[in-house]
Amino acid sequence: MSRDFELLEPKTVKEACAMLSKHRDQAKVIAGGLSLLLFMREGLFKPRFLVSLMKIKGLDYIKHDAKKGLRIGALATHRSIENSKVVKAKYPVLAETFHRVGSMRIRNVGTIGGNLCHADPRLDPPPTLLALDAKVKVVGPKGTRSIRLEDFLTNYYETVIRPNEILTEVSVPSQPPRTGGAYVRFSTKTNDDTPAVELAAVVTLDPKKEVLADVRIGLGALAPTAVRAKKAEAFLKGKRPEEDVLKEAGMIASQEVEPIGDLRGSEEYKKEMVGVMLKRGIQAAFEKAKA
Amino acid sequence: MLIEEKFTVKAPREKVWAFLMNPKSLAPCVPGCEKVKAIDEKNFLVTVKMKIAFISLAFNMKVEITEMSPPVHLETSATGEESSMTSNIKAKNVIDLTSLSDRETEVSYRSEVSLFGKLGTMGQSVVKGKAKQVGKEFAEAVRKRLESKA
Amino acid sequence: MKRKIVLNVNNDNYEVEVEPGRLLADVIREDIGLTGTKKGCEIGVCGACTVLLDGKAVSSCLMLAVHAVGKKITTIEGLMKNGELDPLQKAFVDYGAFQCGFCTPGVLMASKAMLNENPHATEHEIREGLNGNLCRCTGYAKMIDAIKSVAGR
Repeated sequence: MSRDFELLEPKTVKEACAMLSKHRDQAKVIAGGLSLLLFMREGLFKPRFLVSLMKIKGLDYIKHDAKKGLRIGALATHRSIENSKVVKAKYPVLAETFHRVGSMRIRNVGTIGGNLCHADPRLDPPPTLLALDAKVKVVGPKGTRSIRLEDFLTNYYETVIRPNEILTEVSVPSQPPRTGGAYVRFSTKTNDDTPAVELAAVVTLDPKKEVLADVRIGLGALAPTAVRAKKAEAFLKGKRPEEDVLKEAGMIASQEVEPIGDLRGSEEYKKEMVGVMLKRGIQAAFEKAKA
Repeated sequence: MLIEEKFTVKAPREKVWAFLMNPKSLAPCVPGCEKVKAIDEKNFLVTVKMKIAFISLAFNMKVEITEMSPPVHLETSATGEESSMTSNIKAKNVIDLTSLSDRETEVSYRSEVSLFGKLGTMGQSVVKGKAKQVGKEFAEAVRKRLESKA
Repeated sequence: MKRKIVLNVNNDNYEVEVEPGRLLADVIREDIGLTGTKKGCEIGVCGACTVLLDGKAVSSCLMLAVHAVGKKITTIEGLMKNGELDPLQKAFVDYGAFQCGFCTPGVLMASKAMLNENPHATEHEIREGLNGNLCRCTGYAKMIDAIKSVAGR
């Protein structure tokens, strides 16, 4: 691995931004380092400076209040989110999703901020975060921006973050009553392999009837970024999750993505699986919402 | 991996063929194409740069025209090395031009690409996905140049 | 540019001089000389390089040595106490839970961390705890029996 780099260890976000401003494209942020070190070891990326965030204190919180919802500091590890009492109580689908990230060793070190900024479309958290209408807070020398996650992720490994900005927080709004979520991770190979289809379904039921008042579906590993299946969502709104309704919603959703045929499935197969997983996801979310 | 695309250009077939066969007009349409050197009528040296977010890749390729039936069909074979020397690429390309009318041509291409080496870390699907995006930019560039001239 | 750092491994402090790009697995094996930790896939998937950082299992092949400064690192060599094998190690010997032994340090460290968190883990939890440690020899069955025997106490 390239040894020609300098590791900078700022103690505050402000210091980190200043270092990034100074070194521009020669510098990259490193948190847990799992994804970045992989690329560096393969010789695909050779930065001159790494700005490590690991000495910055106070960015690993998980807070919740009824008004602001859930706020997670960018350096919170996947494991801490998976195990968090408040996440398990208020956003169980999020705890389930973070439980599926990599292996225990990955979850002990990887951070939510690093995960979102790495922006590999095959990662687990983004579809669920999208389905929960998550936002990210990004801090730079010119100030703070609050960006919807949908707008934050733009392409393979690309986000709207500027070279001298740091993602500091991920927030998820409070969910209405009678809301349930499910995360489906369909892998055609081993349990922990990159999946063929990732689908997160969050549904809110009508207060009186068993009808889908609101539906949000996040899809992953099927496009250059994780995406929302907006057309399928609109179709399902106001309906009961019956067989034929879900089947049609599945077909609509499969047309909203462009899966790449690879070792994990052909394009056609993955599209068909979107339909299968949508049915499973919506049904599971529906049961949770009823409870 | 297989990359297949089709696009339409509002120009007659002969014009499209001449355009694609001329390295000087073709090269600027290929995103990231930096150098095209003709060794002889059938062999070219090409350097193509591709950026996937913070990862910069530079491919040094040898392209050979293996079959040609103007103005309809073209086959090329390309082999190359990524400049960091951690990956190799092999591609067999087929381009077909179909006249839709005397002023409209359909360009369809089919590339069988094999990637060897470290790029596998990123996953073939990422490279394929990016290649599709590059293909769309290529089509746009060809259309822009040919249709403005026509 | 090299810098001097202190790594606390198995309750001992080791001063080493490393470049920022040195990985924890390499520093443990080469600079400190503890070769029980193995390098398998070197991409964080196989688990052979598992060490504990403040009691939590991590892939030492995907961690910069400088990021482990100030933490308690435990390697397989640190499982023995006063010359006595850890109950997990004894169980692995008793149950014949290893063959070539290459994955074993990683499996033991991962299981140790899991049992520390969940001393009476069920079989399902043990299996989940082993998710991420690959073994080509044993088929995992005897490992699970060995860990179960310790969890059962």
